[in-house]
Amino acid sequence: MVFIGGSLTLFALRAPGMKTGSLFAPISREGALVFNNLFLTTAAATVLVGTLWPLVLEAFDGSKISVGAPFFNLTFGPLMIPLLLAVPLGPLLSWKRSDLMGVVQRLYFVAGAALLVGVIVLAYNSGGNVLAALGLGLAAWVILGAFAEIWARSGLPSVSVSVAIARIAGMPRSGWGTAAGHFGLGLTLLGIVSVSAFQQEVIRQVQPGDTISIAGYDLRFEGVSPNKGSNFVEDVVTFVVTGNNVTEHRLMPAKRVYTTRRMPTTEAAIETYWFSQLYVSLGEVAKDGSVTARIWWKPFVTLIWLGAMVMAFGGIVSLSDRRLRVGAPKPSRNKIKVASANA
Amino acid sequence: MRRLLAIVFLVLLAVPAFAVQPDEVLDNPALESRARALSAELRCMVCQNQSIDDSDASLARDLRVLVRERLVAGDSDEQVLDYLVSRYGEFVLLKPRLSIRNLVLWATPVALLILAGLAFIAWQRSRPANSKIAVLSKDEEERIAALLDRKD
Repeated sequence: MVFIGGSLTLFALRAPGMKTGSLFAPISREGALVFNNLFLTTAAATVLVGTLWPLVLEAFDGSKISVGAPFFNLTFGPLMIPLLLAVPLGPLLSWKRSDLMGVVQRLYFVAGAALLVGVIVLAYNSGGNVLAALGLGLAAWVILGAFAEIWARSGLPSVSVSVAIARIAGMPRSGWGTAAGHFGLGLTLLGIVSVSAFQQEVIRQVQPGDTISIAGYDLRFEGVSPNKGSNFVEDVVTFVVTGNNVTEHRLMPAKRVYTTRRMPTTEAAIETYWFSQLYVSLGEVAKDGSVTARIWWKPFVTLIWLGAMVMAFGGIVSLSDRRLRVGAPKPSRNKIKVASANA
Repeated sequence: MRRLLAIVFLVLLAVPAFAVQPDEVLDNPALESRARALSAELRCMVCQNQSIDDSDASLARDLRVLVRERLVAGDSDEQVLDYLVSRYGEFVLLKPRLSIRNLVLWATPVALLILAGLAFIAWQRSRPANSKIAVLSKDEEERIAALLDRKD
């Protein structure tokens, strides 16, 4: 209460001093920031209402409803699409007043490449989900678009390479931060779309010697062997992975029981191949040595986390920009006077 | 924003515990994929906001089997959902239906976006200085053009 009330009071006291001095046209960098905040705030509000509405409803008439992943996919997802479409445009817009057509023209190449990606996916994945092609096209748009500002600043191809390099080297760090942030966002998007569209799953009961094929990998079930740890006993299941240039790689998920607490757990086995992962989880281990296995192939799943790291890195680079390092500017005396006069 | 995204990604991608068992899987792949899609929209009543597709609880298993039985009996997706709602109430749906009671839930994103957008437009309009950003006079335009020409 003290903190929230205090900060609100402070805001109320100082608000009249916050004269918005700047004017800007709707199509401008400021306009893009407003657009950005509009959609992100709405998305945040959607999550808030989705979380609280079941509680509110129960308090009012005692009826219980559930709000889960399908609701958020249907509301949060569409909110992100205009935002993602606008991401590459943002850094290219100039402050105060900008020319949308001029910015779009600079992105012709990126748009063409993104369309090409979409068409290729559609062709290879014919009969599959159209959303996959749209999603990957969008990811290409964001990823390539992240570098559009650097490309534009370099002046290529109308200047020599050495001039271009000098120009790029002289770019403010906030520009690099923006590029890294947007690139990371694109990577995360690529990961999400790939996993949701191309994830594969096999659920099967296997006998020793059986082979499960998934996404070009063959997993041969070798057998179950008991093992004893310091405070648990486990049945270790061995799968040998071959295929896709992998030679005899062992995946060993296990069913474990912590003896003192009588707590059974399942230890999944995860192996990362490039940016994708093979994930093996176990169901029942039967007496006859057969095992129920659930195996996922999650393409580009690690990009989701890697993208977030790149975004964080972009933020750090941006914060290290010289203009931000010198510290916050002092408030002008006028504003303080206005505030105290109002107090 | 990053944290928000991260939370949503976690919700979207939470790796389920061992759920669907091989003996539940239907022989007809079209029916099975419909069953999986439906299962992802149905709540396991005894779990913490898990779908029956993700849960290894025995109740979730019973519901999965029930969904498959209804599908095999020839029900449409909507009929299966109606059947479950009639027995377990709307609590079983992870995506609440659009109704008067849930209007706030469904309308908030749309309404907020429209209202905030209108507010921004109104705010832009309300500032007189914005509407009369000085346009260059013909004379000034010509002088600029002349200057630009000379530079080239």
